[in-house]
Amino acid sequence: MNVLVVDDDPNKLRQLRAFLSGEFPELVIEERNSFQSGLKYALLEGPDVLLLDMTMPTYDVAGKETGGYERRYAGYDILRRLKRRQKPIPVIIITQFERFGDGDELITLEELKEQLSEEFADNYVGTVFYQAAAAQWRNDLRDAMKSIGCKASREPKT
Amino acid sequence: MAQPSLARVRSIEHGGLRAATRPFTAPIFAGMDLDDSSIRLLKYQRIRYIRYVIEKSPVRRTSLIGQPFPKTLKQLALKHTTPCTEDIETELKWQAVSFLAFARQLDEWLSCKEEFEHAFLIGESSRATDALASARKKCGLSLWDIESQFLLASQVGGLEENRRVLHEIGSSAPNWIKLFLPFLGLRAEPDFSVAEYHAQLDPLLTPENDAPDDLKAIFDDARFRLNPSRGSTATLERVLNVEESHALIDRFIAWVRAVECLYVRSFNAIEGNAPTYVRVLNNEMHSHRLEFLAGIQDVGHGIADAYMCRIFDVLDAYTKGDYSEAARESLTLLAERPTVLEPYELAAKSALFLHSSPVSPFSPSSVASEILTSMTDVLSRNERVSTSLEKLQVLSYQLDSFGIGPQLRAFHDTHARDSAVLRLSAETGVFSTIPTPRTYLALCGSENAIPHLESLSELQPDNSAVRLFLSSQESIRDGTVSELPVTIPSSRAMRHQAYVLESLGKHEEALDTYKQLHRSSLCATELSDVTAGQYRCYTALSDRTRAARLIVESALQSPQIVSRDTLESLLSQYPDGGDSVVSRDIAWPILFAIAQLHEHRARDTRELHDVLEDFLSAWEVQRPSQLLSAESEFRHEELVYLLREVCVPPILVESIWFDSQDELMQERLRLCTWLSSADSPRRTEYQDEIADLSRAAAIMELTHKAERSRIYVDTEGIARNLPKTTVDRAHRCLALGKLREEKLRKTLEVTGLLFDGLDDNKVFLIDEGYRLFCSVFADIKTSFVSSNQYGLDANLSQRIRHGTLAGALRATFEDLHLVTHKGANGRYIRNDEWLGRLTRDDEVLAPRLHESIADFSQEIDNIISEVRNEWIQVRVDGRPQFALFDFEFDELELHSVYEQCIVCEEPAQLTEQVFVALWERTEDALAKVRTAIQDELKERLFAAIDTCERSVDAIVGHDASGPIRTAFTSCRTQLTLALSAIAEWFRLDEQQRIPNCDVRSVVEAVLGVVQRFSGPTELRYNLSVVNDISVPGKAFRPMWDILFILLDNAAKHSRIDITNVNIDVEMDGESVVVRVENPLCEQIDLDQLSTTVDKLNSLTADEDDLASSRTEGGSGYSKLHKIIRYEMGIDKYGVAVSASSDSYVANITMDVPWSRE
Repeated sequence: MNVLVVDDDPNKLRQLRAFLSGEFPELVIEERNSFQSGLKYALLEGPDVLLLDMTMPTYDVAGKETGGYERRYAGYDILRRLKRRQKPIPVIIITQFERFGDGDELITLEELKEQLSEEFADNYVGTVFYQAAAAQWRNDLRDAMKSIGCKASREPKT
Repeated sequence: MAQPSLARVRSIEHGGLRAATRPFTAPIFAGMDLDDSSIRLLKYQRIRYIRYVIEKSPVRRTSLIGQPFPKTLKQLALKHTTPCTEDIETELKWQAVSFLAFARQLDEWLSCKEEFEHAFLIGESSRATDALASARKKCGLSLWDIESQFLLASQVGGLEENRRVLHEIGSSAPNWIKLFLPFLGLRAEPDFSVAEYHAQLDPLLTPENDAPDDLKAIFDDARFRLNPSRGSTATLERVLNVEESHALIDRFIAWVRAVECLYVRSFNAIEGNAPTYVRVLNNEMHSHRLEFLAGIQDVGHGIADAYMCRIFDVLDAYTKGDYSEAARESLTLLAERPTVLEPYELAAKSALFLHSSPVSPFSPSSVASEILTSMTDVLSRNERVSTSLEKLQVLSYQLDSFGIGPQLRAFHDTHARDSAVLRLSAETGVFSTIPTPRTYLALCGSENAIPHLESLSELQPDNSAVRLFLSSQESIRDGTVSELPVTIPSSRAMRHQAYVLESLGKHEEALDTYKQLHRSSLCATELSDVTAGQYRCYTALSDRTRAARLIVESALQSPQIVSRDTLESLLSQYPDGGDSVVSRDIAWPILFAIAQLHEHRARDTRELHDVLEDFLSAWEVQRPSQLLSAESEFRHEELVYLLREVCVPPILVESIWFDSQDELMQERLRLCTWLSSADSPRRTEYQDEIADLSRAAAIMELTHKAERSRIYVDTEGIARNLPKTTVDRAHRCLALGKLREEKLRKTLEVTGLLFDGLDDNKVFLIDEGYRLFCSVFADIKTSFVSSNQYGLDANLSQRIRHGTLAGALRATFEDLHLVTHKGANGRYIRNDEWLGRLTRDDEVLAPRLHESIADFSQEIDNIISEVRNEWIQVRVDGRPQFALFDFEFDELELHSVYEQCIVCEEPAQLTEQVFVALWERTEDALAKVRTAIQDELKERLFAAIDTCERSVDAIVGHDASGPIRTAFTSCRTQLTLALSAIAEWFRLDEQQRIPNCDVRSVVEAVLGVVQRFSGPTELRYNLSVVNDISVPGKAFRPMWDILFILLDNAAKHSRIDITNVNIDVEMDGESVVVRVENPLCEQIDLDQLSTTVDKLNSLTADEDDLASSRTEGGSGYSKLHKIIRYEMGIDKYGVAVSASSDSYVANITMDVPWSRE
């Protein structure tokens, strides 16, 4: 099974990679670091599962490329494009934020989950709240991956 | 909104009461107040009886009809009203009786109102003021009076007078009136915005779902009065009931508006006696509105007036094509009564057929002239359509209490949205001033209009307009296209024929007629109608392709020709997700773009990109520039439009086929290059865009170069300036190295004091060559590391330690407002952002949070200071202990270098070989620094963030700390990226690979970086570059550093929140003059500043001054001398600063050698 992880945070990406390869050894993990590189891979290569950060730069930061403007809802935009192109790839959102936007545009993580379930029923699997120091995200991600048919190497520790 | 304490709207049950007896008769004639049930019964009585009770009986009138003519503002308070019957007919009747009782006074007021409106519209303010005063004298105060005062005040004295009225009335008005005041004032303002008005009004007038009914009724009434689109939702009987609380003239205005609403809702099936009450009132009063409303029910009544008959004559002339007569007479009518809208429209339309513009009979600045001009713009479909429509909408709000206000609104709505529909809106009919054929068509629809048109025909048997409309409707009714009974211009006749055919569902035939028309010479308004007709036919025939072709060709010819509704209707037919056949038509992305550019729909780059992507996919290309090879497949103007308006960076940034901003810019450059020859009228625009793109690309490149590599040692300068003794030693060292026998290289070295006597223990055989080498190596290393002119440490100080590093590390925290800086007392200033958001400045929590965030600021600054002062230093003799630039060599290492050097032929080669060893050591140090920054520094900063996050959480609680935890999360990600970027600074300078660039690009690139790192001040600038020149790659870095020091100083030392810097760069002869001026804060110590200025002006490139170029924390001016004199090699230059009480100016003049290259 091919999984694409799209995230611009190197620490988070490292932890996700370590967890996924440990828990789901059969997975082939591909990584991208921006909205455009993630979307391009998703549309052209069609991975079996997509793990998406919500906020990302437009382009990969490399060399003189500074990444372009930061897209607050990059994950949402990728889901929208998958839906428009009728690509029913299961998507798990992995975010470090409990809230998005500010003032009148503030949206909580719970509200965002609800919105994603309604708008992208064919793609959206769930959202994992990631905190580097906590253990819960691992359990949540394991459950989400299992719910789409990924086989774990062992049962979770209790 | 708080519930007004006096507000009561009482409801009674409906039914069974009309036939009841009159138990209230006795109390009435006894002069007693009636109870609720008696009033309720009285309301259901016949109009004559109620009138008799109110006018003749001794009953106290105020208990039944309230205060009709309030004399004070207090009397305008919301009061008790009679119980509401929940029956619109009964409420209309009940109020009509009040109007009848005071018909004389209302008549007088109507006359004043007409005079006021007339004078106001033509800009005769003093006459309007008199009319308003007269109305007030006769009928007292009212909401109408207040609204009129606002309008007059704005007309005479603009916003200032408007606000004066607001405060004057507001000071003594009851709360109910205060609710209306801001909105009445707002919409009378000269620069009033309808969107802003609704943004403020709509949330305020939405009651909670569980609000009591009487409160809902009050909200209903306020909405009815303040929102001109009142008709759609208002519960009219409740509105009228609340209106009983108002002055009689306000009730009358609301009553008329309520009847208009009823007519709009269903003119053909209007129930009960509402039209009767209109007629009854019309018989006793002289109101133009009542006359019209009575007239449309009773054809003929409305055109009895001579003025109305003359409008029919104009309609006749216009229909026959006698546009000169129609134009002349409509302007005469307009001059007589500017309060009627029909002459404006007729004057504008007639002028269009004459290819001219109507000349207003009034002052150009008058409202009437504005209306005429705006209507002409809209009808002529010129480029001012949107602005003029907006103007008309604004006027319709401002003049809502005028007869002409709702008419303007109907006109606006028709032309803003509805010109694509066959039938005009009912509002257009109801808000007319006279019942023309068009009025009936709008109100009744085709079939129901015929009886009214027949009646009109009897009154106006020779009127061409009436006969034309009647004939068309009869044709539609009979299903045949009959010959027209009048002689009219052929284009008008064909339009009616097409209209009839279309109405009969004969769309192909209608299309033929429309196409014939399209080919003839039409004025803009006709062309718009014909295009809309063709579009409707294509849509009816489900021919989306031809519809899209028609609209794109029309819109590219003149975008205003296509109405908003037509375009919206077409775009709604675009298949979701695209379609390989439909999407292949270039029309679609163009039409979506037109709809957005002309604000028919919200700006949405994603939507536009989606349609563009569908189109490109359908053509099997990825990037727009690939279309150029298939150029001949498209209509030229369509391809040009697509590339010009749609294929722009904000849209293309959504495309997956560009992996970077640079690729995106290169694509746009390709398109602009093609466009500049393909679309020659706009060549200058494209060339400007090419210049901007090229500069943006250069800035990105330069910034990258400057950001990535900062480490530099001028080894050529060092080699050139080595002391003679060093060179001599090198010579001797190499000469010894050439001796064949190794032992011959050795010499005797005697230790201890000679007079102690010589013994073997004090005499050694040593390698003289090696000893000399060590000395040469030490000299070169010292210069390499410590030379004030050429060395590494001076470079680290100049490019890294001096402000830049601290600025870059702090920038992430400052962007998120997580740290503050120290104030004059040396303590961290209050973090208003987070204290306000998390504690709302709570007396207990705020100080604790302040302490926690101040500790965090301190910790971050301590870490930064340690990095700057301990890590990014050169270690000599074991100090500083944690310095990462380690240039200590042990014996083994030295020997290794010696072995490599000893084979050199010349001292220069030996020097070069030593540099190789030193560069290797530098590379090792840089690698250590990069690792330390990305690992240890990150770890320590993250630990500080974790500590602060826990502390804040404990102080304000987990729920309340949500926003700052989000900021900390962002901070971690951004910091990781920032540290990666900072680590890249620690690479060897690649200046030899930097291309030539212009001075402006360098300045703009530096500005971009300084702006990022200039916290806490926000840097803004004005840049002027005169006679720009090319800077060679080798001079780029020094130029960058000079500009950085100047601008960084301006940002850091101005001590104000926003620093506006003026930057002037001028090539004057062979000199480049750079002048940077920044403002200073008011609290600046001028004496101290003066001393500083003198000190800076006395600096030179002397050794003593240069020594300070390796220290941090000052102005960095000594570094300027080092850069100009030694890095750029310029002898003729000047650095001068000056300061006044409010500004600081730095001036650098350099005689640059490359200006002559």
